[in-house]
Amino acid sequence: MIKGALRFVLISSLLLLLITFTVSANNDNKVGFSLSGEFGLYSSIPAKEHNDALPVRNHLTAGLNASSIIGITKDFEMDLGLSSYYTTYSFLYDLTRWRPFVLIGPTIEFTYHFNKRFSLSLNSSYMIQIYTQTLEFIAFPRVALKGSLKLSKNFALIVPIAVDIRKEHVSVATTIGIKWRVGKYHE
Amino acid sequence: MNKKKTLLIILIISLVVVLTSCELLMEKPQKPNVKVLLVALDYDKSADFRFTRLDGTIRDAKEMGKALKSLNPSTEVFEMYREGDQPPLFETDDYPTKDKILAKVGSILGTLNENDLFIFYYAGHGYKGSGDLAVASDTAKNVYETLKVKELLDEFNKIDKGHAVLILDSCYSGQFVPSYNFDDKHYNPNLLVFSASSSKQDSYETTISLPYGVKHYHGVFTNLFLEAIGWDHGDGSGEEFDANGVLIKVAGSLKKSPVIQNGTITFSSIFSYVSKRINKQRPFIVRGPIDKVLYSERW
Repeated sequence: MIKGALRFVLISSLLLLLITFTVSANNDNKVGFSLSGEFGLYSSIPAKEHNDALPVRNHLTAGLNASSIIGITKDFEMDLGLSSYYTTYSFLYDLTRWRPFVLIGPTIEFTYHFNKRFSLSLNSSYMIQIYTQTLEFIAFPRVALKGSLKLSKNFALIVPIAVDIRKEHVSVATTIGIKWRVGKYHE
Repeated sequence: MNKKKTLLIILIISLVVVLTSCELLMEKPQKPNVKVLLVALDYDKSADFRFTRLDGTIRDAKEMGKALKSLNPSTEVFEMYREGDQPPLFETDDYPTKDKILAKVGSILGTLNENDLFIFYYAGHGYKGSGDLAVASDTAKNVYETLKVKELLDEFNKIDKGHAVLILDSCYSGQFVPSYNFDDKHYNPNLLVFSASSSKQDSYETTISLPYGVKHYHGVFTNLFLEAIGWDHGDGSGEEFDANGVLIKVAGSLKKSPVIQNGTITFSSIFSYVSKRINKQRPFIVRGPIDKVLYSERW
């Protein structure tokens, strides 16, 4: 299942890359493509009804995102893409563990470039979650705030904080990652 | 806002979230006490045509008890069997009638501490449609009475401390699995129900071949459950029966579990193992994020 999700994102990335360069071939807009990977902590906040001994259950999480970038103004751009994450079992504490799962879904992201190096993005996704052991599917929205610091022409350090809004509980993913991008973009 | 301030805000938020990694900071909980209640019936010489003899239930329960005891040597095992042509045990607390089962469940639940685990295992008939359990009656040794799904779940929902897991190898046992919904009055985060089949399916028995031509009956589901925790049936040569056909001693031993990960066995990993290997019936487990730990080297 993890391999399947990874394959889906990679194939989608290739398609997005093709679309990006097809669109950019005939106009002067800022158009680009980005691929990013991130890794960090996934914190599930149990509801009162979960009767959990801990206020927060922590997992590890890793994800891969691919998107097409469309420039709107000099400092403002929009990304459309796909994200996929794997989240491990929560750390062992007492007799309860929260189950591992895969997340996959489309994302839309709005980025404002404060200057040549730093930008801030607001990201919204609709995630399909699959518990890897019970194969249960659920869907919910995710919102994320992402700081980005350009390291070189094509690479940036990203620090996303995402909030998953499920019907029964909320989770916060705090990650750090690297974004690789190509195409015309803020200079 | 300059970039330094923004970065600082992001870092502070990240730090706050990381510091709430409670599992790493909180005091380690006490080692759990594991209590197991095994209920099994073979319906030998049943007077009710609906309840045909089941050849694997008693061995399933006894091997389950031995396997769980081998996994956690401090496990307390309680047994309630209606087995073979043994004389009626009406007077004992261990005869599996409805009232005695519910009383035993209630008394074990009452002894649990915060971090204790109570495993209830049932192997026997389940009524078509309702999934209710066909348990022994104290009127005669070859007649049976009904333990309703609701009655058993209501008893388990009295859980005040600790964690409970119901493992049911019976037909239509999916009826016992509450939905992950806070409005479902039978959903309880401290109770995990693991059924051998869906609410509309039979649960089957099979024969397994041991060395030297020995064959054993087992529930298909229980056999895979035992396999998942590392149980090896052995060659059957260590088994002993009494004159009434009562299985006094089971053979077999515990090897390395194929589902153990980082020294821990969870019920969902067993569920995943069983689900991938079972045919004709589909096991169910309570959905949602919460899983329970059966064993950990780090306890």
